[in-house]
Amino acid sequence: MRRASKKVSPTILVGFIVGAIILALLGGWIFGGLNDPFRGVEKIDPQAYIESAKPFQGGVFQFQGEIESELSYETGRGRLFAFRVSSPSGQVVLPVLIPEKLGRISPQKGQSYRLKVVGQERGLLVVQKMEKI
Amino acid sequence: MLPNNSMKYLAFLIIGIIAPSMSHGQASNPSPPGSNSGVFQAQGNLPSLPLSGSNSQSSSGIPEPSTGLDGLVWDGKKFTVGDVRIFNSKFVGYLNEPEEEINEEKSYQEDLAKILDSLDVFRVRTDSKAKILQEILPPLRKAMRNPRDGGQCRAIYNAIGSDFHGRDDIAGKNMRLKELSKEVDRIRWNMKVTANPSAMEINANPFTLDSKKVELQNLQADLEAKIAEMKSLSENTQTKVSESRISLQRVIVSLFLTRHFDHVMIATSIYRFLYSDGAGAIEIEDSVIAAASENAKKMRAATSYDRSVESDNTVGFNPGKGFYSNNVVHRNNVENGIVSILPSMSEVLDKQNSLKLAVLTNIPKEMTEFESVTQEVVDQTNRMMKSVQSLLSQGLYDEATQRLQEALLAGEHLSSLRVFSFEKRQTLWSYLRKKKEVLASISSKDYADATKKIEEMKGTSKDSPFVKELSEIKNLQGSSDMYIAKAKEAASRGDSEGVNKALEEAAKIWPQNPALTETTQLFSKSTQGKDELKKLLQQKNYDYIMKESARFLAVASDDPALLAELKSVLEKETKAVAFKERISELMKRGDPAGAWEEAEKSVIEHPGNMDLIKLRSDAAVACTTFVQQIEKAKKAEEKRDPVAAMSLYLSARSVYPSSTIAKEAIERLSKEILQK
Repeated sequence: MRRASKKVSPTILVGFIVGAIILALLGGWIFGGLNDPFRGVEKIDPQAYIESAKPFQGGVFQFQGEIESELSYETGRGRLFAFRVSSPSGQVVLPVLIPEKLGRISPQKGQSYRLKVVGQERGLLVVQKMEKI
Repeated sequence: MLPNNSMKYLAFLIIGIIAPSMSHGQASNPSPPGSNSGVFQAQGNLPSLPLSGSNSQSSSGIPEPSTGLDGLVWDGKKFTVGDVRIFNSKFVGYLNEPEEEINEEKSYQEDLAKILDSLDVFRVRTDSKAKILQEILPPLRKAMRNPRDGGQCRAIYNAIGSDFHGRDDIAGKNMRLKELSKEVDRIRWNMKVTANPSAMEINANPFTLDSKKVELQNLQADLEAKIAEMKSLSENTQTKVSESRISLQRVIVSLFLTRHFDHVMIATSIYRFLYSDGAGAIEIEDSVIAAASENAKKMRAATSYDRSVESDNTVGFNPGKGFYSNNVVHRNNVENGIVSILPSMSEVLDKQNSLKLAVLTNIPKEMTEFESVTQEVVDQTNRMMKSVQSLLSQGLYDEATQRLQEALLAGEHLSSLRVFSFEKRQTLWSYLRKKKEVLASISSKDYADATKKIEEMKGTSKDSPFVKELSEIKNLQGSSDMYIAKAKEAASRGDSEGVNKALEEAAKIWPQNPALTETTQLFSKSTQGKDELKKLLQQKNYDYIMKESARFLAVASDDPALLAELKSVLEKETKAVAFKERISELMKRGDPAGAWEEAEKSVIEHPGNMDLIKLRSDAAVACTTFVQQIEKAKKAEEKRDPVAAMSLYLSARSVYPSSTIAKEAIERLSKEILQK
């Protein structure tokens, strides 16, 4: 005898699955965003920066860029690099100082990085954190 | 061998010979006294020429002439330049005078020879005067009419005529004297008879005695008259003879002084013929010498003479003493109506004769001396003329000219000179003219012209009288050129005073030095050029300065400040030109950013150069992004925004990686940015 079974409505099932997925995604976004160090950091406006760098003094910015060249080194201060950054009006190259405390990082020409920088005196961008992309 | 006196007279004649030959030295001796021929004179005076000798004795013992600034001195006598010039002008006249017609001259000489033959000294003593006279008069008349004769034969002819008229007169007077002598004898006899009563007289009557006394007195008066007439006739005859003789002597002296030596020979022979009473020993009257001297002084002669004789005769009979006579004679010797003895003579000949005056006291005083001196001169002249012909055939024109001058002055009226061909005279005239031109060029310090003419003369005559002058001219030219070099050197130092002094010295030595003219013009142009350059620099017209750089460098060479400024401008402009070339080249290669950068640099160095500014604009159009970034970077730097500037330079470099402007700025700003 076949026992008459009690069937789950397919609609409910689909809804359950979708809900689960949504929850998983939401959880992942929430937990992931909490761990991102660049989370909440303002993206730099390269065009505004080349117009005048001084207003950027004291601000923290992030951007992605490709190393164009190493410009200079100053003992006690660090190495000055040129990062090519994309902007709506074209490529802009920004000078960025990698302080000595980040000396373990050895950037090479052509490598792309995501950087978190702070505007110091005269608007010079000093790396706080950089991640190779 | 001539006697000493003849040598003296000959020397007198030769003065005329020497004088013209000195003209060379005279005319071409512009040196002031004391100038030394061997030493260079800064004033540029040519030293004395070789013909100007010292007034010294030659080896032959005959004084040699010397020249001075105003003439020549010979044997203590001084002759002025005027005399030398006169001789020269006479010589020039001779050279340009056609020669005598050969046939005329030949005929004339034949006539003179006939006369001389007829007057042979031995014939004069043997043949009758009438016969000789018949022989000499026709050829003398013929010669007189010959166009070649200048009145000399006529003067001799007239002198003969005058003598014979005198002689006729004297013959008449002699007859009268004879008659008077007879008359006097008769009266004397009658007086003697009358004074002594005859024994035959019977009646001595005192009244008779008284009548005899009266008769005696009458006879005495008659006697006195006759004797006075005799005295007067006798004195008159003496005067006539003396005057005829003096007249011929005058002719002889005149012919001698005017150097008509052919005629002197004839006149002396005629004199001997006419006055054969010791003719050869007759001394020329002192009065003739004095008169000739006086005439030569004034070149005048009298048209009339007062040779009157006033006699005061008192003749009487003293019974105790017999006949007596007190004779007081006053003789006049006065010349009146002084006029020129040679009316057609010019002032020129007056001067020539004044030279004769200086030696007039040396004229011969005896006929034999006249003849010997004359013969010697004729011989010398003929020899000189042979020498002239020989020198001409050898092409030695200078020597030939001098010999001809000598010959002319001694015997200008002699046949050998008169028939000397016109063609040869013209050859020598042409040579003499060139010589004068050289002397004129030397005198005016036109040494280039003098040198050219001397060289030309070498082609004409084989004997150049200007060898020494040529050498000295070259020395003077060299000295002048040295002063010009000195002036240029002073100019390069900017020493204008030194320039002027050196140019002045150069001009003193050789005023017509072509290099002097050239240098003066150069300096003049230089002054004008400097003004032009200064104006162009002020206007910053560097393009034109660049185009004319060579000229302006020469112009500014003596002005250190101007030269420095010019060099700076030229250096900059040279760089600008190089910039232009490089910019154009980069543009051609398709490197506008590189061209722009080069143009940018060039405009900074040459801010006013419009060509570079234009090139920069052209380049900028072709690379706007790069140019904008560089421009913005510069502005950021100006605003003391080195980080933004750095960023812009880096951006510009990414557009044009070869950018030197960006590279330099990045290096500079990197250090600045990293500094705390």
